[in-house]
Amino acid sequence: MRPPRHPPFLLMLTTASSLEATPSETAGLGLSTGVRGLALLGGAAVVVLILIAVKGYQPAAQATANGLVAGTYFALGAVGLALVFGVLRLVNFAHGDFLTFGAYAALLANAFFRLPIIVATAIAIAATALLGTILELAIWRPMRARRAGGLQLLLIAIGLAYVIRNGIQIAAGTEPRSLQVDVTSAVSFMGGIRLGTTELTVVLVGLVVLVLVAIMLSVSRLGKEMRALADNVGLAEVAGVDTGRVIIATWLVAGGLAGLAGVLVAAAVGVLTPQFGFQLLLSLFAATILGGIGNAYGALAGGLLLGLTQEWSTLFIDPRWKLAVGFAILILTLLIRPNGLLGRPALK
Amino acid sequence: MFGSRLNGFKALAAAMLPAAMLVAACGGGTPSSGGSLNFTMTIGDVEPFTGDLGALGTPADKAVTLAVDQLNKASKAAGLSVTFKLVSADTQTDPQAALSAARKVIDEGATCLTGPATTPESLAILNGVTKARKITMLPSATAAKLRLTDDGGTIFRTAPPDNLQALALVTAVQAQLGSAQDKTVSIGYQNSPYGEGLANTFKDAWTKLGGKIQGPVGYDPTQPSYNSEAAKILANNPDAYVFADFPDTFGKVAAALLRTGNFDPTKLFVSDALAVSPIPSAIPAAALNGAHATNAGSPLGTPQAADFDKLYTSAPGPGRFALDANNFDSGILCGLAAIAAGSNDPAAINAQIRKISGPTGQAFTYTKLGDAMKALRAGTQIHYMGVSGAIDFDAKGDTSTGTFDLSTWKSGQLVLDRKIDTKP
Repeated sequence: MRPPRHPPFLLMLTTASSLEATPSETAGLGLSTGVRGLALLGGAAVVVLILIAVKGYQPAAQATANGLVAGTYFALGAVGLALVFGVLRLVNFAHGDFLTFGAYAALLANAFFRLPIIVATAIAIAATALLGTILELAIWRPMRARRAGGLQLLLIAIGLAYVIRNGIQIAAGTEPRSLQVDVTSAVSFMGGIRLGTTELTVVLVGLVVLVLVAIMLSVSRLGKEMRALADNVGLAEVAGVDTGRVIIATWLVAGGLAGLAGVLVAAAVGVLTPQFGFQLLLSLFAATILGGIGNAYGALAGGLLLGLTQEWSTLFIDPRWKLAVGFAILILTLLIRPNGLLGRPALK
Repeated sequence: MFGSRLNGFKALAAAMLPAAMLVAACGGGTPSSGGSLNFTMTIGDVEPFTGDLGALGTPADKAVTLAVDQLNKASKAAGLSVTFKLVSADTQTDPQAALSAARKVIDEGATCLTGPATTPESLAILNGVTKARKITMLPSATAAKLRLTDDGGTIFRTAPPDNLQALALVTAVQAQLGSAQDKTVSIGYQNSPYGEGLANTFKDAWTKLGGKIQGPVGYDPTQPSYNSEAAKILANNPDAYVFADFPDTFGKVAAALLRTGNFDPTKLFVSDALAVSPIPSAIPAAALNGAHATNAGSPLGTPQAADFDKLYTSAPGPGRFALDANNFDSGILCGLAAIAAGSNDPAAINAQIRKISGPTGQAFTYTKLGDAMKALRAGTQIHYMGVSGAIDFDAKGDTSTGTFDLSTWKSGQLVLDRKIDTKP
């Protein structure tokens, strides 16, 4: 039974009071989050200056640009994962395959039906948002209603990952495919940094979308409701939040973001296989955990940090170890800050 | 009550089973020259339909399927009552899953295996099931390391091992640069046993000739971004670059190479796993047009290779892919060995594989498979001339044709330049 809706002022009161009482405990852009974000930016700038001093301007700047590209991929993929975990406490192992699903939906529209890439992207966003919603209605909601434990939900998510991936494989085959996008042209800027035009587009679109999501979460009514749910489901329900509607909205946003991330990353990378999203998933989890579990800004910060450290490391060591370097940084960060860069302290 | 009756049935069945097996063994185990044969042979195809080499599984399975079709047609043409059946399973590019896949096809009656595609998977299958049961396996794994394990004579490879491939690449690069002395070759490779093995063998052979090596730069095949790797490989403008990689990873790397603006495809040499014609859509064509590839055997330029190309491309399913001809030959060898043995017994088939692979005996290509089967039944020794080359298994069971094609991509197609013989 759903509690009756309360007048909106009660909701505002609840979220407002929770914001004021413990600013660091909300998913919003509280003061301390902003300060920590600035500190991170400053830290990154210092590292870049040191790298330039040691390795020279061009290699260090190029590695930083490469890191921003990789970091945007991770952040774009991770933000939907963080949102679902924040609101639903669900570790969505199928999230990587949501990306693959979006990318193949775009491929179908773009390479098969010859639609322009922008239209194909819109179709991918809609299709993946729909996939997330259908799975919520068919699986997650009934499972929650039966009070399924975290382990059961986790196993279902892992199972779904395989079902989606193999379904794509049955429909599209295993051969590597490509979107109709120019992945080879590049531009030079800032004294010898080279990036692909598609990569640059993806970084710009990705950062804009991530900032918009962040603003949506902190300003819009839906964002506040999502955060209310993330803080305390019972309290949010009592305050009149229509939890079912907010959860559907969460899946629409998370699915849509996953679809968008899938298309953008697949377009910039240039090769698409059914393994594509799953191969990214570990890095997406890393970005989410590094940033602070369930925190959308954290996913952004975590993704960028992961990408930057991996690419910076290639200046000094064999690139085949860059994954290990990225994850060593993850472990070190968690040793120092167990809740992640922008994470909230554990609930008292 | 019902249970005890069922147990009675089981006991009866258990008692009859050895007798039935004895009858079967007597019927099928006698290799008879001439006369008609009557049995069904099952070939098990274990390929990576998923996992890192997921792109290779479907084309490989298509090649073996075509081989089984050819065997069935030939058996009919030769007037034999032998039917060939194919069962396939997914190895997931994972040793554990590969062993399960092999067990599955063997349970379904497979007496000769084609695939898997990597050395770790081959070793898992060898140690888990095929060595003990004397079942022949013809993997398309090419790491030289595979031969460090005693296989009891059960592993045969139609693709030459990577140490020969590296020598072919050295010869090709040396010819283009005039000499190896003080010339720098930059190596990029996928961080896998295939890539690392090939990269290291090339490095040793090139430095022995007085050449210099930049890198080798290894990269993880699962990454979304390879810009830093590309910059490292192309740094200081090397005289040539050598890549040991598979198409799905190389597509990503090639785009990054082109974006640096310093990439010259005419300096690029790649190994057989990338020697695909026409250039697959996932690899930017600008990265390969003008580049050179060495490819095992003689897949280009022989009549059977041209026939196979027509056969493969006119059939439904995926386009040409690395090692498809080798997988086709593996399937044919399984079937011919069963005809030569006159039986579907794994050990009897195993004993025939080397005998039909040359170098002596009357030569037949797959287009004359019916005649080859007739000759076998008449007691004639045959030499199956493969689509991928003359095969000629050496003492270890690897193809001893050290011949490689050196080809160059022109307008998206590989064009044969010349053959390189890596055997002294």
